[in-house]
Amino acid sequence: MKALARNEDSMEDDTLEAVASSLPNPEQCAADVQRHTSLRRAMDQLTADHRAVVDLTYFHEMGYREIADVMGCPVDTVKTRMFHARRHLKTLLSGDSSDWL
Amino acid sequence: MINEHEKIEMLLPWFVTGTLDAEETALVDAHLLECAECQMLCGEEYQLKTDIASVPIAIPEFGVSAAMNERRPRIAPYARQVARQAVSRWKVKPLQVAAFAAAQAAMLLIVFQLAQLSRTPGAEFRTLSSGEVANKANAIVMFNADTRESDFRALLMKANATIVGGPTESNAYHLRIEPAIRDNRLKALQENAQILLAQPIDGE
Repeated sequence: MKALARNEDSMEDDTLEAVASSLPNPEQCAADVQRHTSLRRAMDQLTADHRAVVDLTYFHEMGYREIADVMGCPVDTVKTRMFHARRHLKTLLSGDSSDWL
Repeated sequence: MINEHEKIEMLLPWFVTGTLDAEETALVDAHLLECAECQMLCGEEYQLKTDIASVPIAIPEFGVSAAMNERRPRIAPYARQVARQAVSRWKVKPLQVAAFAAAQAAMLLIVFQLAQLSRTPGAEFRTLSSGEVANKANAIVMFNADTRESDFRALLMKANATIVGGPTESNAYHLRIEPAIRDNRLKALQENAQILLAQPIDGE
């Protein structure tokens, strides 16, 4: 019986450890919040057209041809806007976190 | 003149979202094998894509409300489907092309004559397109495929929006909303279940 109880205790510990390891640690949560805040702040500083291209690409997962159609502009304009938006974001975010970009 | 490296670099955002066609994907794959800089940039693109896609809260400033967050997966496939249908509609026979070209030439002539007329000094009327800045789109909106015409009109009226262009092949409409109220009206549109996308763009 004692051996059985020890075995059950061991299984409970294993389960708890597995659950604990699957949860994000507080440092990770804080880092995520910081990244999201920085991202929103940086996005706010883009022009509406640049923001639209970034949003439609990454959030709505549209291809550049679809974005050109939706925004009513040439595909090369979409690519150029994305290129500049990406560069602005990189500059804006580089000051907020050393491990970002 | 844009070189091969810059051309690939510009495609990376859509490479990481998997929205390039097979030929472009192969092109990027081949370049990545031999370009360390693009490998690094590609890693950055993945990070940015992951972060933007995982932002858990509503971001009305760039066209995303909490309600839209849930509807997000439906937008891109829907836009693609509508665009494919539009493309297949334009697969016409040579005779149809000739007839279309003749009709288009006649239409261009009429448009040209109207344009000349509207430039006449002292003309007593204004064409619909003469509003210049006042008619420039400052928002994009996409409706659910099953939105009724009456709901469509009601939503636009409630938003004080004027249609400037569209529907595009992806079924997007370009709107003009008074700049002072635009963000509020777009936010209200984003909350409506009939709306797939309501996005501000530069209007000036």
